[in-house]
Amino acid sequence: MKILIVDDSRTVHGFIEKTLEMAGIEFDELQHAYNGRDGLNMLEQHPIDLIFSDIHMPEMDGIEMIERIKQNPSYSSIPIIMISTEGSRVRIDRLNEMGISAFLRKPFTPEQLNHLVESVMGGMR
Amino acid sequence: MNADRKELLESTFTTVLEQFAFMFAEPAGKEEFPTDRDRYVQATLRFVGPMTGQLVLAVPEEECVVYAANILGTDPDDGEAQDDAADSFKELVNVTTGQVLTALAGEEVVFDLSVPELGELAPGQWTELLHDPDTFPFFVDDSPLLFCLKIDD
Repeated sequence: MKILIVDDSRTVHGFIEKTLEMAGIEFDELQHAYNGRDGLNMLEQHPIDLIFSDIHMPEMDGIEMIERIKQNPSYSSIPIIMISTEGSRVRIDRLNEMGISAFLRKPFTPEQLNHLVESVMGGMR
Repeated sequence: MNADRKELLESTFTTVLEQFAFMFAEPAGKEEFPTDRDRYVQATLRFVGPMTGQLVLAVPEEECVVYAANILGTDPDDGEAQDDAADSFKELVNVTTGQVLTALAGEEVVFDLSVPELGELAPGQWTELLHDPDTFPFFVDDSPLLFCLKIDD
């Protein structure tokens, strides 16, 4: 599985990577982007199976990145798990309407991550 | 601040630290709380919504790298932890604020959060923050931390 993490915090990249390992989720490649524009560039350069993305980022936020991904048939089927500190039901509902696969609030446990990736990726893992 | 809210905040912060940094926080008393370090830092995040205010976390400066190491699952001597010490402490206040606001206001409301800011705190300011009525002191893995939630009138 090839994973792309999009977040402006290097700490969150490290936290997700550590938690993936603790959850026993195997991945072949882990690509890193620090805003939505970088994320889109990464998609052009690397085949990606799963995206973890923050919402609030400089230059291009996660919302705009999702909109562009969903408009592009080459990427629109890639599962996206949004990761944020926010817990507002209004915002989560809006993200679901945009076509994200799942929403995960920080912090999260390896068990929560494992369950979510299992449900999103199914037999691919 | 009433006892129920204090307990809710302490419980929320303790859970955040356990899940995000695998660190254990113990609420502490203000009397005899350490004030003997030379340099401190504070991470501040403002929020606007049904409630407006700010959350501040403060620690001795040298402890930032310990938080980074725990969050990243590495050693404090590791270069990655040292490089990310400031970013990690800002991310801790970010994650804490999100959880605290949900605990206080529920999931049906929307808050706008500022970008976390990191600043130095002189020893006198540390003591002043400690004695602020909205501050809760903790020992996190035996190291002092101040948690201060200010809600504007």
